[in-house]
Amino acid sequence: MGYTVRMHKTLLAALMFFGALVPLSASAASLSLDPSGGTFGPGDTFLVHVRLDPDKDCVNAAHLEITYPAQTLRAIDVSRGDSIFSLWPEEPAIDNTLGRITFSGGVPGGYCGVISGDPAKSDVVADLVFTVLKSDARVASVQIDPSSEVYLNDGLGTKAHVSIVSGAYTLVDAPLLTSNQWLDELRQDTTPPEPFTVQVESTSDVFGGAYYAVFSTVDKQSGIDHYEINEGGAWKRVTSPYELHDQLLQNGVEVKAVDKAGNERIGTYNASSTPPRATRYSLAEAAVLFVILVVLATILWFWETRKRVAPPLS
Amino acid sequence: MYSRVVVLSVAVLVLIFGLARAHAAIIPTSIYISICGDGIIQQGEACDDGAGNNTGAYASSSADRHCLPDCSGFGPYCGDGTLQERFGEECDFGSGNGSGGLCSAACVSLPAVPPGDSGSPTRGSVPSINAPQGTTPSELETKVVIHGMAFPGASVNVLLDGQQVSTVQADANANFLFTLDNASPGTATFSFSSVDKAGVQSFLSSATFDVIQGAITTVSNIFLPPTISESATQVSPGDLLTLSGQTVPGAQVVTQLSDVASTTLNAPADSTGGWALQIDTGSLSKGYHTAKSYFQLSTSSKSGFGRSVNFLIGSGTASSSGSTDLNGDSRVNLVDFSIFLTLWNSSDSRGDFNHDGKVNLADFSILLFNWTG
Repeated sequence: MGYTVRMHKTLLAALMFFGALVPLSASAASLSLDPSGGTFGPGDTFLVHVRLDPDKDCVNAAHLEITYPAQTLRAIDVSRGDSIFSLWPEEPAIDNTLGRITFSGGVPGGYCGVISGDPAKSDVVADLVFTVLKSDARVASVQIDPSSEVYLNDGLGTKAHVSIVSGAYTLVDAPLLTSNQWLDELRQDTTPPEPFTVQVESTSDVFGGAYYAVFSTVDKQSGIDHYEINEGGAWKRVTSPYELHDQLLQNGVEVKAVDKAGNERIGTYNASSTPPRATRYSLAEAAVLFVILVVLATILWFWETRKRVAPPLS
Repeated sequence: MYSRVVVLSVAVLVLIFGLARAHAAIIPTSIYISICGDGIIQQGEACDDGAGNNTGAYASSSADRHCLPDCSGFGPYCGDGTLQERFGEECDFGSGNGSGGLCSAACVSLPAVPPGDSGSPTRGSVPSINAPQGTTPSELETKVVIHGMAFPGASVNVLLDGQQVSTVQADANANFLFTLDNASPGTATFSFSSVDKAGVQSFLSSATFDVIQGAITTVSNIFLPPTISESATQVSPGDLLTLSGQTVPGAQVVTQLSDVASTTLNAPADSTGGWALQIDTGSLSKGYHTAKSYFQLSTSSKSGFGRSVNFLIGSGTASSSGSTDLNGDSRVNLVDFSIFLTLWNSSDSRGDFNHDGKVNLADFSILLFNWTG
C-alpha cells in the first residue's frame, strides 16, 4: 500500500515536473493592456482593458496579477461588465498600498478568440480604472505580472504559454482629460444585472449538510459589484455559496445583485425545487454508526437481562 | 522498484507529450457573425439598411425598397414582380415594368396597343400571386439567432453565460436553430451541448461575442464535435480497438491519435450520424494514447475537436481525474462551482481533480471543461 502511494506521488511529481518542460504548442495566449500607452495628468481617471487573445488555442480560465506604482496611480475599480468570463473563484481585489490587482475567472465551454464579424472585439477579461495621483515619476508602468496564468480548455488543467503586453503611461503636470470616463460609464448604466434565480441546496459534506444558497449573474454594463441576501430581516452583503441562518426556510430567501452603478436585480428561490436536507453522514458512515448502535444496544440488553436473572445475594 | 517507477514515468511522459502534441493541432472552425442592423451586408444577409431602417415597408421602386427586419430580403416594392393591390399597384411585371410593356415603372397599367390596332385599350393582365404582408416599422429589437449542427433528432441544451436558458431540437439532418428575443446587449457566451443516441455527453461548444443593441446578431456554424467512445480502455498490443460515436449524417469524421508521431484516421458517418473506426493497435507503440475527433463537411465547414478518450496499450494502470460532479446530481453546474469554492486553496481531494495536492486554478479549468450547465 505504502509503495503504491509513494509510486503514485512519484509519478505525479514526474508528471508535473516534466509537464512543465514539454512545449505544449507553438502558439501562445496573449494577455495585454489596452491602451498600452497614453498621456495623463494628476486627477485624470482612465480605463485600461485587460485583453486575452488565446491565439489558436481555446482557453477557459485565467489568473491575473497586475502591478502599478501606488504612489503615482490609484486603482479606483475593476469592472467586469465587458468580461468574457462569467465565473470568478477569486473576485477582483485591489491593494492600493502594494499597488496590486488580482483576480481569477473563467468561462464554461472555453473561449476560442474573437469570432469573425464580431464588431466589439469580445476579448476583454476586465477593465481597470486608474486615477493619476501625481506626475513626479513622469511615467507610470502598469505591469501584468509574469506569474499570471491562462489555462487551456482541455480537461487536463494545462497551462497555456502566455505572452504579455504591459502598459506605460506618460505623466504630465496638468490633467488632460475633460471628463471622468468611469463616472460617465456609471451614469449611463441604468440597466440592472441580468435576471437570475437562487438555488437552495443541501449537500452532505458542505456546511455540514446545512442549507446554503447558490447564486450568480452577470451585468453587461458596469459589472457586478456585490450581492446581498435577505432571509426575512435586513439585507446583508454576502458571497455565494452562503450558509443560511434560517435552516427551516420559513422566511423565504431573496438575493439582490447590485452593479457598479447601483442598479439592482432581485433573485428569488423556488421552494418546490429545494431538496431535502442532507444528512451529515454518508451512507457508509451511517451504516457504521448503525452497526455500532446495534452492538451497543445488544450489550445493554445483555447487561440488563443478566441483572434481572441474577440471584439475589444472600 | 525504481525500474517500475522509471517505466511508468516514461509512460506518463509519453502520455503528456502525446496530449501536448494533440492539443497543439488546431482545427479552424468556420463560425461567423452577421449583424442585421449595422448597415453592412454580411454573410447570410440579403440586405442591411442599418439600425432603424430595416422596416420592410412598401416602396414605390426598387431603388427605394426597404430591407426586412431580419435582413433576409426586401419588403414589398413596385418592381418585385408580385402584385400588391393593397399598396395601389395595378400591375407588377418586375424588371419588365415601364419598358414599353403593359405596366409602368410606377406599377400602373398601361393601355395595350397592338400593332396596327387603334381600338380601345385593354387592361393588362395581373399575376394571380398572393401578395406578402407588408411590414410596418416596429421598435428596434435586440435579438440573437444561432444556427448550428449537433446530432440527428437530438435535444440541444443552450447555456447563456454558463447557465441553461433553453433546449432546442435538432432535425433529422442535425441542424438546430436557437433564437433569443429581447436579448441583453453586451458581451455574451452562448454554449451548446447534447447527448448522442447512445447517451454519450457531447463536448460543450461555446461562442463569445457582442450582442448589438437594436440589431439581430446572427451566428452561424456552431458545430458540436462528434461524440466518441472506446470499446476498451486497455488492450494488448495487436488487439483491435473500436472508436465510435455520432455526428452529422454524411460527414467525414477525422480522428487524431496522439502518439510520438501524430496519426489521423478518417471514417464516414452514416445516415443516422453514426460512425465507427477500428484501430489495429499493433501499429501503435505501447503505452498511453488519446483519441479525439472532429467532423468535416467540406474544406471550409468543419467542427473543432471534441472530448478525448484515453486508452492504454500493454500493461499498466490507467490514470483518471477526479469527478467534477461534486454533488452527484449527474450535472456540472453552478452548484458544483459553489461547492468547489468552499474547497478553494485547500488540499481537499474532492476539489483536487488533477491530484496535485492543491485545489487551484488548474482544477477550476477542469471543472469548466466538464460543465454541463
